Amino acid sequence: MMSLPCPHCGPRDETEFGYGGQAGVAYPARPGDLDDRAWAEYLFVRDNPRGWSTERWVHRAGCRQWFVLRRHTVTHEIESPA
Amino acid sequence: MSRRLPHGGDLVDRDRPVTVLVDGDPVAAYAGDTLASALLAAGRRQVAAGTYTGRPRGVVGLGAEEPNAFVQVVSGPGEPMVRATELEVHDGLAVQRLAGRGRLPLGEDDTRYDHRWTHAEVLVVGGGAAGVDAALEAARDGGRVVLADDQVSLGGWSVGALGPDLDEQVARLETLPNVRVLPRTTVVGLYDHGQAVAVERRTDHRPDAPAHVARRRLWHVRAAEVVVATGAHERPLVFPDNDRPGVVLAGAAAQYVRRFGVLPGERAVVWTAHDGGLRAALDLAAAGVELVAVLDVRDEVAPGLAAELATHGVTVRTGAEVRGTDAGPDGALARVHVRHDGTIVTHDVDLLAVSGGLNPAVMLFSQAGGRTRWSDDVAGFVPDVPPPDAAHPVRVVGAAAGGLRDDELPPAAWFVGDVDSQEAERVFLDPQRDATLADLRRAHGAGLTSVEHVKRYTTIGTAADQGRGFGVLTVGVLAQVLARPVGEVGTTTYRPPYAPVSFALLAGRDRDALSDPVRVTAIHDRHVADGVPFEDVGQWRRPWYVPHQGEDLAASVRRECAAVRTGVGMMDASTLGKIVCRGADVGRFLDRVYTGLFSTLKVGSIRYGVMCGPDGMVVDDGTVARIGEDEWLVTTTTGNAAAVLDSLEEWAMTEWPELDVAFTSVTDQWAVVAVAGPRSRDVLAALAPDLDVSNEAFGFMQWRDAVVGTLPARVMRISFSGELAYEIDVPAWYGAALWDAVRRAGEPFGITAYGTETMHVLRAEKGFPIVGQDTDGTVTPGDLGMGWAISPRKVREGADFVGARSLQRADAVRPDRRQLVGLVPTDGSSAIVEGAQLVAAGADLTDLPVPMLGHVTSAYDSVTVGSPFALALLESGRTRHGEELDAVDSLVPVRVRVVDPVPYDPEGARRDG
Amino acid sequence: MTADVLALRRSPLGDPPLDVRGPRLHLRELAFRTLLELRGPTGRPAVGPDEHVWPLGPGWWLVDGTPDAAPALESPRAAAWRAALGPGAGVVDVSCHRTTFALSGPDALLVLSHGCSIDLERVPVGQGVQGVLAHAQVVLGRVGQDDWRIHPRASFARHLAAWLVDAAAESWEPWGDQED
Repeated sequence: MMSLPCPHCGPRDETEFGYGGQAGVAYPARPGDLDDRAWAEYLFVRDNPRGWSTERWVHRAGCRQWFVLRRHTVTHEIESPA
Repeated sequence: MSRRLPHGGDLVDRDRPVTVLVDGDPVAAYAGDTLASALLAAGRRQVAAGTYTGRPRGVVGLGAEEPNAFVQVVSGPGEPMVRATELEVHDGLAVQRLAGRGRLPLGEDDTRYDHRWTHAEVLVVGGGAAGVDAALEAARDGGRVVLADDQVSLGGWSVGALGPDLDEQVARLETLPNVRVLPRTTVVGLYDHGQAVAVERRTDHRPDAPAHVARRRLWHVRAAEVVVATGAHERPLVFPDNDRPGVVLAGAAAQYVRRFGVLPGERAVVWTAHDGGLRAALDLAAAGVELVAVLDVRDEVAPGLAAELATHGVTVRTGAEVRGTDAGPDGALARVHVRHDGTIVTHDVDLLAVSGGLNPAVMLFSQAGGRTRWSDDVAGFVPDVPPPDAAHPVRVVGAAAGGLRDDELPPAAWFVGDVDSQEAERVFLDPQRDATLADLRRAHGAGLTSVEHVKRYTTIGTAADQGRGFGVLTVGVLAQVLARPVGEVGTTTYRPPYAPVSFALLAGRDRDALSDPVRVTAIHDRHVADGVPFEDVGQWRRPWYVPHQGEDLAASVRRECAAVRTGVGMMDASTLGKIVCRGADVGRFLDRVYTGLFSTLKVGSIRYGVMCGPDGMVVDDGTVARIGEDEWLVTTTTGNAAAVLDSLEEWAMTEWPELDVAFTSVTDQWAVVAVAGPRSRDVLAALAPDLDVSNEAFGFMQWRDAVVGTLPARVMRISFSGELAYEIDVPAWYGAALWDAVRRAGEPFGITAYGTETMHVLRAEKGFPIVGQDTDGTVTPGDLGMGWAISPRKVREGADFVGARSLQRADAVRPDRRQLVGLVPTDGSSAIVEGAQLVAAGADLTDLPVPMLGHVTSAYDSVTVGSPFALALLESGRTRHGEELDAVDSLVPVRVRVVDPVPYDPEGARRDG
Repeated sequence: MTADVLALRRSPLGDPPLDVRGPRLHLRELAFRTLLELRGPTGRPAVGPDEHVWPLGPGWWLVDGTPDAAPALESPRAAAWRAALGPGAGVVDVSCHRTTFALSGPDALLVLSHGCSIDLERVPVGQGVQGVLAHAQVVLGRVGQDDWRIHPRASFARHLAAWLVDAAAESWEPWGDQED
């Protein structure tokens, strides 16, 4: 069970959180301008690194805030992003 | 024949005799004994039998490394396989000896088990000298320290009996307010981020404990730093017939003498590969064991130890080894064959004490991600690279780190004398699995060279002792077979749990009603009083149907449906999700997350909405009411309330933080009674005389605040049945009072309570899909025939909403997508089964694969339709009305006709009453 | 009339009221408290005696106030807070959405530690946390060293009450060495 550092509530057990996948994939400003391939890319394609991953989490059972952290997918080391 | 020494044994209390039952026979012991020490004291050498071979087996070790002495506990709640070396004796304890496998006790275990969470700056695992020292050090700056030790009292087994220093340290530790000492507590897992899970045995040794006291506790410890001070496990040496009762680990034999005052034998051969075995020989000699021979595989031993042994008249024979044993009539050890200086000598003995060295207990370190390496100095695997997460350090200290005493000579890395032994079938590498050197050689012969593969092929190391004693030895033997260095062969991976954990303990108090929260509405007690059967909807408990005396589900639902269609019904609708959306930008926000247009909604009005995911698939539906200029109330399906709130917050917080919106769940704030049917207006008028309930004043999809009965209420005119209907919301404290008031006011109109089943039938007759039942995450609004729910104005103006772009993808506009249709059986009576597959009429079900055209999502017996009626998703469904198909469940086809999904009142004429 | 209507209220636990006392623990429901969620204030809002305010998240607070004297669709205190906080702030009446348990006595923290993974020892008096207790989302507030308020959602209240009574078995009837 990981312990994740909520920026507002401090460290809490992983089960209090929801995982939001890769960070930094913004909702396109004008989805209508994207062709099918580019839109599918936004919808479905994400990095799957073996190593450091920058990802979104939400403290669902606590303050309900979304935040970004860096997690090593092999060792589960965690860093808050600079 | 008692083998209890007249004196000695600091762990046992000779003033407290205890009797235990072994296979029904009384065995005398003292408080403080383990079952193993009691059995040894009673002279019972055979304590078990080989799982497959049935060969007699005896106690080998002292604790968790014991491979043989497992018993079935038959007293108390019972337990299938317990190590005699770890079982504290107490009056009333009854056990049966095992041949390999225990049996789960049948029947319910009503013993209490619980869980507890705790946090510490430092967790120390192991209460020997190193652990006690580490705990004292850690406690110095006032941080919270947890010290878990699997023994009855701290002190460990390390440097012999408790020295006065250690005694004093333990006493000091136990007075520190910031230190929590957990004896009888085994850490079974070390996980990410300093999390440890430990089993505390609280009352196993206290048969007088009352039933409400938890027998065992699962601790969840979260520590900033973990110190592993788990010591080392002694490993044996192997040779033909090494599994006989009487072949005991030398260090363990010495501890039985010293700590329990028990002689494991009277005439002994000691065979060792390290100084520890020689020191054990000294202890045995001092206690009066006749040492027939002391053998060391090494060519040289420390002169000091040799000299001390000489004072007992014993010469250490270096370069010597055991080549085999014979059993006596009782199946236990009687003779040992020793090779020394090229000749074989046979000794008559009842004890062969062996010690191949110490295996540092690196399991927890390894579980946490630490890597080990072979150390020639220690002749064992020692911690090497610490777990990578430097933020939660795991430190290993003491014998677990592979520390040797300053005065020790290096041990020998010695495993088996003759890997090509003709007697390999009797050289046991895992006595609990009855696996031998021959098995290992067969694995090698099959081409396996990886220790992980050999483990799985031979099962060596997979038994309950997890190869603690024999595992490293097996690696060594494999290295010999492969003619490679031990360090290259490496160890198998250690995984939790370190020791078996019962399911009852893992469940803890999460049993029966507490296993998962049951959510009930404010009206629940009324339903219980009415004796209604409940349906579980997620965690909610909802009235399923409301039968009269003697009615079954079908009869009750027929009556309930008829009441709503022709008179008036009432239902507890409190479980619908409710979310207050507040802020200046809520309208704009809702325009983006719903397919419809909401910013134009007037205060006092309600609009139906469909919500899609970014992929264009329907994720929820519900209503939105505008309560004030900046306040809106969103309702969701019962099962989706949490997910919808999550989703709204995610969009608002992560994509559009510039919008002024905030969300508050108020699902439990409101008790809701739905009043539905042509007479519902009459009931409302009677309940709320001050409210103008006329269709003109209070139209469909509007809400009004009113006093209902005497209660402050908000009334919404919405319908999930197609009939004229209202939902009356009151603060939940008044839910039961509202239920009573509606029932009273409805009595003259024959109001009928109904449950979820009737609700489902009524909505299906109107073709209202239920998200999650009639949809499965692959269904667009268009597939449901709800293209009307997508705002034409938003489409016209090119306004984006979640899912909009996806709905234009080629796949989303294929004409042959599965679309919602109705189905009726062509014979007018056959039941259609939910989940049935739709295939061409008359399709040959044996000609595989049978092309599947769709599936049934909802099916009911509908009085209104006059026959069974189903909703289904069907390829090109909207163009197939009138076609016949087979709905197949369990290979039984039912001929059905495709019909419009709205068989009842398709014009919607009934909603105004 | 007001009294008649107030008499119709039922707390989520129903009858009889929850009030269990042991030598080291006291558990009871404080029914019909006025609970309001405030959005906006960055600093902790001030409340009166016998009232508490717990931080739920950034700019997000739960006010635990004394019961209202009259029935209402929305507590009049919600409007009062709106006026006090000014435009841009949000106030939602959640008096019935949650309820209030008081858990006090030397074993209070021990009982919570049977079902809560949060480091509650480190929560100072006057502070609160949102998290999970016994599989239910709750707001926990520490009003004294050994005195906690638990605000479960109303639909979870019976589960949580049953769980607390069960978890405290060894506090109702202590046996053997007392633990901390």
